[in-house]
Amino acid sequence: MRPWLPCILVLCCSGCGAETGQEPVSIPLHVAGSGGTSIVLDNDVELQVLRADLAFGPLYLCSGPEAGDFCETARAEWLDSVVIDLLDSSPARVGRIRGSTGTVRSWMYDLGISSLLTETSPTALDAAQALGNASLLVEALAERDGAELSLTLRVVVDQAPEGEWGVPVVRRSRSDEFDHEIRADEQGLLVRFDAAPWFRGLDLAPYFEELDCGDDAPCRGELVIDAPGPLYNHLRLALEAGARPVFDWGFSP
Amino acid sequence: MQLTCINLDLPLARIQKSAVSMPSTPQTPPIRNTKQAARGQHDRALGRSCHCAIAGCCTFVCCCLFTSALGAAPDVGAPVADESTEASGKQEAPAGSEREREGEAPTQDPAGAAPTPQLTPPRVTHRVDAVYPPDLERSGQAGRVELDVTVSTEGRVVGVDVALSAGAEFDTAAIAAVRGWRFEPAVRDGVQVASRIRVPFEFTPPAPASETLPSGTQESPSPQAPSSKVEHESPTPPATQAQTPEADGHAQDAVDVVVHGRREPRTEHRSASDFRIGRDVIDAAPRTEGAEALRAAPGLYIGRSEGLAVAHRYMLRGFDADHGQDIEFRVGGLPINLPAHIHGQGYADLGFLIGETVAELEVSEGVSDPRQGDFAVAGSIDISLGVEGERRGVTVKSSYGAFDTTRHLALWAPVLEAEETLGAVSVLQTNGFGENRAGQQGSGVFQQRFGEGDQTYRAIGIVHATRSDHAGVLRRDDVDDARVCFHCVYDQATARAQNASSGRLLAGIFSDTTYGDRDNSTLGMWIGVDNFRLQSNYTGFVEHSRTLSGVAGRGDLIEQRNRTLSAGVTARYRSPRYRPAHWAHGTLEVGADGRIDDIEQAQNLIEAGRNETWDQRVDATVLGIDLGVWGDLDWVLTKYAHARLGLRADVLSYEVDDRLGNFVELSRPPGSFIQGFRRSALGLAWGPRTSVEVHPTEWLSLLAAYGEGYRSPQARQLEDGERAPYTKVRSGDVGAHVDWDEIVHLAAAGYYTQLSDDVAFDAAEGRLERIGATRRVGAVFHAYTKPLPWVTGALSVTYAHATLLEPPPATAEEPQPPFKEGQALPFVPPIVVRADAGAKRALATVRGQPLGTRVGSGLSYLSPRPLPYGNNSEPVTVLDVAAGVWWGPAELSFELFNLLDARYAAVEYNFASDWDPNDDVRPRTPARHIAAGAPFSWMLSLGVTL
Repeated sequence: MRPWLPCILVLCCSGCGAETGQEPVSIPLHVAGSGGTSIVLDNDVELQVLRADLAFGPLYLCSGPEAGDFCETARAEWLDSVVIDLLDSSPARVGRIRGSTGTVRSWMYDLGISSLLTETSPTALDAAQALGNASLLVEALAERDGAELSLTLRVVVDQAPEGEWGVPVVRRSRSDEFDHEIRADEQGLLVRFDAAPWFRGLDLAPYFEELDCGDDAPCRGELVIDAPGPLYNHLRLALEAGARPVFDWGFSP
Repeated sequence: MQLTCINLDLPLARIQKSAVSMPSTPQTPPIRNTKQAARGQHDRALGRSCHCAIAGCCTFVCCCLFTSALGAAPDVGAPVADESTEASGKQEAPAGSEREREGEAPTQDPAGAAPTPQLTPPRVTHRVDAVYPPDLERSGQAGRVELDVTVSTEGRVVGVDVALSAGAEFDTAAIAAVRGWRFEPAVRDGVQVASRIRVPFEFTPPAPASETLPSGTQESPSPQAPSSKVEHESPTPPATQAQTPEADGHAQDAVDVVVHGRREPRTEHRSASDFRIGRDVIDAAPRTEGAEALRAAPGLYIGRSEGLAVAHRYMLRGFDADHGQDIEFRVGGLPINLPAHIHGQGYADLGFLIGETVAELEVSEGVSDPRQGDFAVAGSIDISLGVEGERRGVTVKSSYGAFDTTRHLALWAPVLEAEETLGAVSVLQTNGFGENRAGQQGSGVFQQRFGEGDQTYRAIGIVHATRSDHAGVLRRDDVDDARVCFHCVYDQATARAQNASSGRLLAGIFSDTTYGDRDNSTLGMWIGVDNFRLQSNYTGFVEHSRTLSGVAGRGDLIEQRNRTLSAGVTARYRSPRYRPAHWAHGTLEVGADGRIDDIEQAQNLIEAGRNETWDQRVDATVLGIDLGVWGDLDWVLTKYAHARLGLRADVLSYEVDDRLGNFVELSRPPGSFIQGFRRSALGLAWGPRTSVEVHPTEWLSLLAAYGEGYRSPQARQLEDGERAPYTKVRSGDVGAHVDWDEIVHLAAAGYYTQLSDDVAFDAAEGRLERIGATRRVGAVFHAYTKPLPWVTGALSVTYAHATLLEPPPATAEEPQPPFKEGQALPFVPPIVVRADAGAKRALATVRGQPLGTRVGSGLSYLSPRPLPYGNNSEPVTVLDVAAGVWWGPAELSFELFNLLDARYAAVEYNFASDWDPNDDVRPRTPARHIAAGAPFSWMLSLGVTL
C-alpha cells in the first residue's frame, strides 16, 4: 500500500461521524396528582375525595401539531401504564421516556385501556386491571345540608369501535399549548394531573333529592356509578377532553 | 522434457486502425474479416484447400514442441528459443513452401542423423481481433510485437510471453487478442502435443479518413474494409501509413492471417470517474452470483435483503440507490431499469446475470455522457456479455455448497464465433441461510453476433424466473434480547409468509454499420416483459384497514404486484471526421432512444394463511413514454487535449389510471361518487454533458467533466398536469488517470453531485418517499495492477459526504419529517472500500494436460451508515476467498464466502414497528431493523469445458 493511502483513509474517516439529525434520548418520567381532597361542587355540594386513582399510559410525544393518526411515528414514547394517586402531589418516577431529540408539538395517551390493532375490543393494561378494568376509580363522600352520599365512580375511557382504532384516546387539542425541543441532556418530565376540574361539573343534586331522608334517620345514601349515565358521561368526557395534565419539562426530583 | 525445434510458419498479425492491409499476393483472395478467415481455414481443414491456415506466412520462428507422452511440464515463463535456433529457422525454411501448404512443419535434424518425427504445427481455428491502442491514436505510432504463445494439447493459449516489445500499449493489445485465440493443437507422430509458437503482431495506424492513401501502399480502400468497427480517425503521419506487407518483407505470405484492428465504438474516458472493469478483475474474487461482479466497480456495493427474487440493493458514490433508482443499468445494450415500479423507481433486478458470461463492466460514475438517460444519477453501468477465447467451447459446471445450495450451468460458446456469441443456462436451488430463505431460480442468456463486413447484427435474449422466501427484517432490540435469532424470522404467520417471485423476458436486436469505416451507426430494437410479486412485512402489526371498518389488523403483510410490458428503440450515428485545421479534428454523434412502458401495479394488505385481502392501497395502470435525443461533439485539439461537448434532452409522458384515487377513508357514504382518478403529466428534461481531457504526458491524463441529468418521477405520485417534475441532477468531476506501463493504472477523482429532489426508502409503505434536495461531495480512488501476466489486483476507496440541503415538504401524515437541513443522508455509507486480488497460472503438464491453479480474494468494507432518527449502522466487512485447480478441460474450485463469518446487516433501517402486538401496546418510535447478511458459506464447483 502506498504511503499516502492511509492518509486518504484517515481523511475519509473524519466524515464517519456525520450529523444524522437526531440523537437518541432517554428521559426520566415522573407523574403526580394535585393533592387536593375537598371540592365544592354546584348546588352547595361538598365533595370529600377519599380515593382517586387514575390509570395512565401509554404516552406518546409527537413532532407534529396533531397527534392521533398523524403520529404514526412518535418522537418519544412511554409504553407502560401506572396507577396515579391523584390525591398525592408528590412526583413518582414511573420509568423513562425513550425517543430522539427534536421538537415535540403534540401528545397522546391512553388511560390504562388501549385499542390494539390486532384486537377488536379494547385491552386493559396492568394499571387498569388494578382498578378493576377501569381508567378512573373514585371513592368520595358528598355532603349537602347534612345529607351524605357515598360515591363510587368507576369510569372506562377506551377507543370506540367506530373511532381511530389503534390510536390513543386522549390527545392534545389545538388549544393546548405544547411545544418543546427535546435535548440530549433533558433532565426529566413530570406529568401532573389535577382531578378537581373533572369533578367540579358533577351534578349530584338529583341523587341527593332521591335520598329518603326521614326526620330521625340519618340522611345517607350510597351511589355506585360504573355505566354510562349523566355522571359517568360527564367524567368520561372530562377525562378525554377536559382539564389537561401539566407537562413540566426539566423536572428533577 | 524433450524439445524439438522446427521451423514453423506463423501468421503476421496485422493491426490497423482504418483498414486491413491487403496482400499483394494475387493468388489468394483477400480475407474480409475474421469470420471469413476462420471459415476459409475451416474449409481448408476440411480438405477444400491444401493451403494450411498458417502456411505461407511471413516469418519463421521456432516452435518448441513438448512431448506430451513424457508428461513434461512446459516452462511457460522461459524464453521461447535461443537466438541461434530462431535464426536457423529463419534461414532454412523458405516461406510458403509446398510442404508448409500441406500443413506440415518442415522437419529439422540438427544432428543430420536420424529422421525427426513428423510434426504438424498448431493451426489457428479462432482468432480474436486486436484493438489498436486508443491512447496511441494521437501519435499514430506503428509497432511490431512478437509473442511466444504456449498452446495446450486442447488448443488453448495457456501462456504468453513477449518476445519483441513495441511498448506497453501494443504489447497489452496483442496479448489480450492472442489469449482469445484457439488452435488445433500441434501433432507429433500422431499425438497431440503442447507447443510454443511465436506470433507477430504488426500494428499500423489508420489512414486518415479524409485523406488519400499514399500511392504505392496496399491499403485497401474503405469500401473493401472488413468488419473493423472504426468510429473515428486519428491523425496519422503518412510515413507510418506505409507500413505495408512489403515493408516487413513478407508481403506475399501475409494473406491468411491478417488480424483486423478493431476500434472501440467510442472514446473511452469522458471523466475521471469512468472505469472499465475487465474479466481479469471480475474473475479474481469469488462471487455467489453473477450480479456480484458489480462489486468490482469502484464505490459500488450490492447486497441482498429480500431473497433471490427481489433485486439487490445498490449503493454507489454517496447514493443509496435502493433497487436501482440512481444507477442506469444496461446488459448487452438492453435497458434494465423499470420506470415507476411499485417496489422502487428504476427497479433493476440483475438476478438473471450469469457470472460466466459477463465480459466487462463499463462504469461511468456521475453524469457526463449524453447517452446516459433516465436513472443515471449516481452513474451508469453497461455490462457486456461475452466469453473470451480461452473459455470458449461447451462448458458444463455443477456446484454444491452450504445450505444445500446447488447450481448447474451449461454454457455454449462456439469457438469459431465472435466473443459475443454465447448461450448459457443456469439453474440454482438453495435452502438459504437461516430460516425462511429457500429459493430457486433459472436464467437463460443468449447472444449472437452475425452478419459480415460493414453490416453486422447482434441478437440477444434473456429469460429469467425465480421464487424465494425471505425473512424480512428484524428489530435489533429483539435480536439483542434474544427474542429472535440473527438469521431467523419472526414466528408469526405474517412473517413466515414473506416471499417473492419474479420473471422477466428481454429480447433485442442491434445492427451495427460501418460506412467505409469512417462513420458508423447503430440501430436497435428491444422488447421486455417483467412480472413481479412480493409479500413482505416490514412493520409487523401497525397497519389498519382503510377500506374496511371494524376489522382488526391481521399483520402488515404487504403484497406488491407489478407487471411491465416494455418496448424500445435506439439509434445513433457518428459522422466522418471533420478536420478544419491540422491541429484539430473531430466527429459529431447524434442519437435517440425511446421506450414505452405499460405498467399494471397493485398493493394490498393480505392476511397470511387465509390469503384474504383486508386492505387495498394501490390499484393503478401507468403508461409511460420516454423519448431522449442527444448530440455529442468529440474533438481532438492538438495531441494534448480532447474536448467533448454534448447535449441531451428527454421528453417523458405519463398517463395514470389510479383506480383508488379520490378514496376517502371511511368518511363518505357509498354512492356519492365513483372511486378513481385519472391524470396525465408531461415534461422536458435537458442538460449539457461536457468533458475536457488533457494529456501533459503519455502516462498522465487530467480530466474534468460536468453534466446535468435527471431521474424520472414515480408516476403514481404525479398530479394532473404537473410539468417537469423531475429530479434534476448536477454532477461535476475532476481528476486524473495515470498509466505506468500497463502494470499500474491509477485513477483519482473528486466529485460533486446535487439533486433537486431526492427520495429515501420508507419502510412503512415499503417504497420510496421524497426527502428534498440533497448533495454529495467526495472522492474516489481506484488502482488496478497487473504486475505479472498471471496476477491481477484492484483496489478502490470511495468517500462520500452526503447531506440533505432542504428538509422534505411537510405532509399531513408527516408534519415534521425526521430530517433537517444539513444532516447526513440516511443509509449512505461515507466510505466504501473494495479490494480484489487474483492469480491464475499454469504449473505443469500432467499426462499431456496442463495443470494450473488459481487463487483469489475479494474484500468489501462499508463504514457505518447514518440512519434516520439519529442512529448509525454497524460497519460491514466481508472477505471472500477462492482457490482452484484445473487440469486440461476440467476445473475444480472451492470458494469461501464471508470467511471471517462476520455477522453483518445486509441492509439496516430505522422505523417504527410492532412485532409483539398481543402482549404490549404499540411502539411508535423508530427502532433499528436489520436484514441479516449471509454468514460464512462455501461452494465446491466442478466444471468441464470442451
